[in-house]
Amino acid sequence: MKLGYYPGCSLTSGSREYHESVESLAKAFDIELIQVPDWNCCGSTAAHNLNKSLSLALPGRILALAEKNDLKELVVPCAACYNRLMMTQMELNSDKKLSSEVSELIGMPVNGKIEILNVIQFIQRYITPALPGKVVKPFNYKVACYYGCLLVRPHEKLAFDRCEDPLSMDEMAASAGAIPIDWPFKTECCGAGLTMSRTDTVARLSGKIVREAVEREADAIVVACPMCQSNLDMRRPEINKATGMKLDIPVIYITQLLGLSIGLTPKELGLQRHFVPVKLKPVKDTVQAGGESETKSNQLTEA
Amino acid sequence: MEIDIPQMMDFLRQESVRRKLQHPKAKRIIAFHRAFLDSIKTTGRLYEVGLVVGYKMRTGTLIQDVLTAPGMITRGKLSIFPEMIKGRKQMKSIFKKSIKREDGQ
Repeated sequence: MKLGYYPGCSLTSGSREYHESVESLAKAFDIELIQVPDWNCCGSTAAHNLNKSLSLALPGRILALAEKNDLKELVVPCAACYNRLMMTQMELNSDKKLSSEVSELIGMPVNGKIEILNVIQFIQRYITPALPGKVVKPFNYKVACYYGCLLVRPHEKLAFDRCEDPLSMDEMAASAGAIPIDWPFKTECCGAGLTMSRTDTVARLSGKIVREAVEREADAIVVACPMCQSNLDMRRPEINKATGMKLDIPVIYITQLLGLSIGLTPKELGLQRHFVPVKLKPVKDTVQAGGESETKSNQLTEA
Repeated sequence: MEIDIPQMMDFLRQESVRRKLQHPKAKRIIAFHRAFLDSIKTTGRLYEVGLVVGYKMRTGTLIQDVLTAPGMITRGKLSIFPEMIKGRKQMKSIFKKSIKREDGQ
């Protein structure tokens, strides 16, 4: 099966482990991801903060190129890119005059007919149905599923999952053997694109999220956004300074969790690229051999 | 009538930049956004080295994050060279027309 794919800039640079894990997972389920030819940056927060036309034209070019290449569904793993592409397509579809103006800006027609899937929707549609038979190493850890802002807001437009207490990622993590915790920080903001310009804010906001996950005894935080992952992982020294604690909980992508559960190697999933080492405490096996409990090997430290 | 709050927030941010009426505390945030857009205007995709250099030049924050860069390089997270798309002329045209369209309001 072939699906359209828009990796976006983060996945080809600072978050390439996300790209690697999405591609490895897709390959394991016989899905070929076809990149939008000659794709450009979606403009992210910078464009919609500074220039309205640019904030529509940059995603508009991506959508137009996808349509031109007959890609009906577009998998967009970056939550920020997903948000920008969705918002642009909806705005253009609701305003024909604006749509023709954007077509003029980019020199191509935009018909607004692409089905845009975030990574969770992609997994729900194409991975989850076939997952049960493929789980060989259940991810037997307590996880704090963290959705962030951009997958669920603005909810009246994206209409994805439950706005305040989403469950989709918790359910798919559970189907791979994980134990999702109940916690109130699922959709709190991590500080997003302020990572360089207001690192103090990012450290404070991300610190609250990481501390809450640790206090609720999660073994890992699970994410679906490269910006969230980067803030919670790469900014850990700043987070530790802001919280006055030494927090060493790893932050993994849902695609890495699922990939490990079906037996993909840590390297195939890019786990060696994380700043906070993905080392989880060994789990006591539920099966007892000869009356003695066995300690299961830590699958994440094989890399 | 329903008020679209995200749209309204975007409009206020864009308008404050257009009128050069930003809060002093937002200077670095706007500098980051400008460096970001400058980077993709030239290459079509974000070039993180270019973004960081552009941001530091605008803000004078030369030593910020110098300890983070080596970790990014060893983890393969920082490309030394930019990725150039074929449609660079088209990108320049999109930027030119978009800026003219907004400034001409």
